[in-house]
Amino acid sequence: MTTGVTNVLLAGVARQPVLATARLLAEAALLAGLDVSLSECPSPAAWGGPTSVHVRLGDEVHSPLVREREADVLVGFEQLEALRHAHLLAPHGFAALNERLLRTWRMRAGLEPAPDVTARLMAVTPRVVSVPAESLVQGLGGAPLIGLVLLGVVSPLLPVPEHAYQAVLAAGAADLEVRRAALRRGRELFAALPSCVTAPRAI
Amino acid sequence: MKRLLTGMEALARAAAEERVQIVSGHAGHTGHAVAAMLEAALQEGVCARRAPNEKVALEVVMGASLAGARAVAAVTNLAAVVDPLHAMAYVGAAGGLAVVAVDDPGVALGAVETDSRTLARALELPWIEPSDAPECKEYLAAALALSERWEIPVVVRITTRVALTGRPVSLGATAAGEAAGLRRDRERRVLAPGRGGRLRIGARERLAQLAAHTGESPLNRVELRSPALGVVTSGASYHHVREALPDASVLKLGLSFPFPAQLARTFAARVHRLVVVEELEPVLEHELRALGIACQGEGLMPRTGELGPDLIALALGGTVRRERRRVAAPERPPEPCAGCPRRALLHALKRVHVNVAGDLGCAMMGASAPLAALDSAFAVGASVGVAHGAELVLGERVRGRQVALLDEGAFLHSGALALAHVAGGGAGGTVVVAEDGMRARVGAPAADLASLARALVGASGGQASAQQHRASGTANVREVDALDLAATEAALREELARPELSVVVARGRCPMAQTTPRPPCAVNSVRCNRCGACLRLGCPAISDGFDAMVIEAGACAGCGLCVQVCRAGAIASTEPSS
Repeated sequence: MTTGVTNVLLAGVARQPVLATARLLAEAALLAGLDVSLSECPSPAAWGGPTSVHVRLGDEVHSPLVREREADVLVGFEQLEALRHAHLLAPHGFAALNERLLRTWRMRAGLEPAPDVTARLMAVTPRVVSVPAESLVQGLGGAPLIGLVLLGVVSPLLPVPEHAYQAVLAAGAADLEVRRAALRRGRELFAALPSCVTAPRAI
Repeated sequence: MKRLLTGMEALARAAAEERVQIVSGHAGHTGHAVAAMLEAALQEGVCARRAPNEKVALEVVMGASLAGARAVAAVTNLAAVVDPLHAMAYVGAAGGLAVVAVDDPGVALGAVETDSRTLARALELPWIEPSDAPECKEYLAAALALSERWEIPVVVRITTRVALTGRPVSLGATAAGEAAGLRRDRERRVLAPGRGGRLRIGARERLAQLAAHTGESPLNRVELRSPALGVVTSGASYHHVREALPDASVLKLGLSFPFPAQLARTFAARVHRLVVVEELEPVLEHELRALGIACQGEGLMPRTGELGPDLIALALGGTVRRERRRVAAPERPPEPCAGCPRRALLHALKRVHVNVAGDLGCAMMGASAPLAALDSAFAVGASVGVAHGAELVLGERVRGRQVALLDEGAFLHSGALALAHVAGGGAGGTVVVAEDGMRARVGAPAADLASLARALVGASGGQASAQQHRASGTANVREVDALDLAATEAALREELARPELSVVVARGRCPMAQTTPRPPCAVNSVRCNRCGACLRLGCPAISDGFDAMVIEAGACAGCGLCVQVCRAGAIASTEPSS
């Protein structure tokens, strides 16, 4: 790891708000005076394919890519896509894993079982937190907000002050209160976690 | 003030700040980097146009340049425009003319992994390679200035990584451009037979004069750190090198062709070991070797796919934390969206048992299981010509047993001309065009495709008999609703049985453009016998619930295709009236 750089990997599928969430994080980091890089991995995203974004923030960032075993934080919007990036997750890393699992055709047809993603991520790091993001945003505004809940969960581990997120959200204007509430629900979930999971080790 | 901009957004911003008057690009289905640039240019107040193919995009900016305006083209496949671009070097740019080429190492977006840098020698044009978004903005400005100074188009080559990576970019003031106007120079602007050779000499001279200045260009720079290892690199690789080998000295080439020979010699003399780090083809390495400079490159790293800091560190002795084996995740191949009319069309094609010459775009989604309905598909708009070629050599052996299948985007890209060619030769065949109402994606008007097809092939409408068609030398063009499975299948069978050329326009709205949501379908679990017919449609909403098939209401687009394939009558729309 480059000293002083925090690596965040966000992974999901097309039409989940992966890029929008990464953008909020990166813009908040920029506002907080950090150097930042946000790199969307090219994919045929229009067709339900995997989509992932590497975000790196710190004093000086060079490569836009998170190196293997160096992701401090993994934000899994979808379980299989989180698993696809497990090799990037650092041994001390923190993974916020949405409960949503979008099955492939082989799984839908019963030809292949869905893997136990939580267990497989736990083999990399004990700091894996399952987030019922879809249910947490129910009554707020639904699926477009799941990114804010997930970002809320990991935000206490990132070197970006909360007011920076608030400022970026405020600049976006629409549905400000709902967005704030979604972010807050994520933070509350983090606050309720045991300290062995939340301890800011090596980040 | 700094704003977070991706490479494409930074290029669009540069266009706004550098008085560019037109940005034209071919975005197609997969070139979403180019689409993002055009979108950003519009937001910055620059006139931006989506062209139906790469060639038209380039021709538009050539016209603007000859009219004395600054103009930028953006394409994902530079090889598609080699001929007009080369000719433009002879004619000479008037207003600054830059062509942004987006290469795709790893082939995540396009179909081929072309390294467009290999075209620099063939095209005899300057090649500029930004490494990140701030450089995209800075280098596009430099490219336009170079273009005007040497009256030559300039290629700004990036990769998808640079295109899609956001970095803080300093903003300047935007300024509106004012075209100088057309200047009459018929001797130079009309490439009449006999003039090309002379004009090429002039173009070569301008390039040679430019080459004499590459050594002092601020786009090329030497970063001296430890003399133990010197790395020659460009583009996205530069930042990977800085990450993986922080102590290495670096020669970073932003203007890589014409190659800055003297600068390279000086750098090579100051380091003990010289290594080239470049994605895909060993272009810089061959330049160094041609100068007699000893270096390493090819063989150290893979020649296919994208490079990253881990691969560079592995090859050159940096720190790598790669100990654990990769966790395998199940593959997620692209599939048609729920409600996509392509799914119905592909299913109908499977039922009529034909060879399908497919195309790129959404029609490509029939590539994977369970639909797997395509037999070939490799270039945009190619399907019509490909099927025609097979018919020319196989004749009766494929007649009535194959179709060309393409999206309207591919049809307007180049398939339409191939269709006119087939019709002109009096050949037969069946062409299926999937019309999805997303024509704005290729910058074409929402004209009726069937009328266009009729105009191209001299077709008669309606249901005239095959005899009549043969007699009049016209082809049959008919429209079907793709989501009406029985009608589509019947139309395909009928047209395949005709000896002459016919076109089936299969209409169906893209679910992303569906404005009025349709109620989802549901399975009656008592009636369902789990035969799996609906499952084999590969719809993201349908899964095997082990007691009965299950339709996830939130994922269902209500297209009703599964209702049509269910033999047990177990699926119905949840519409209150039904």
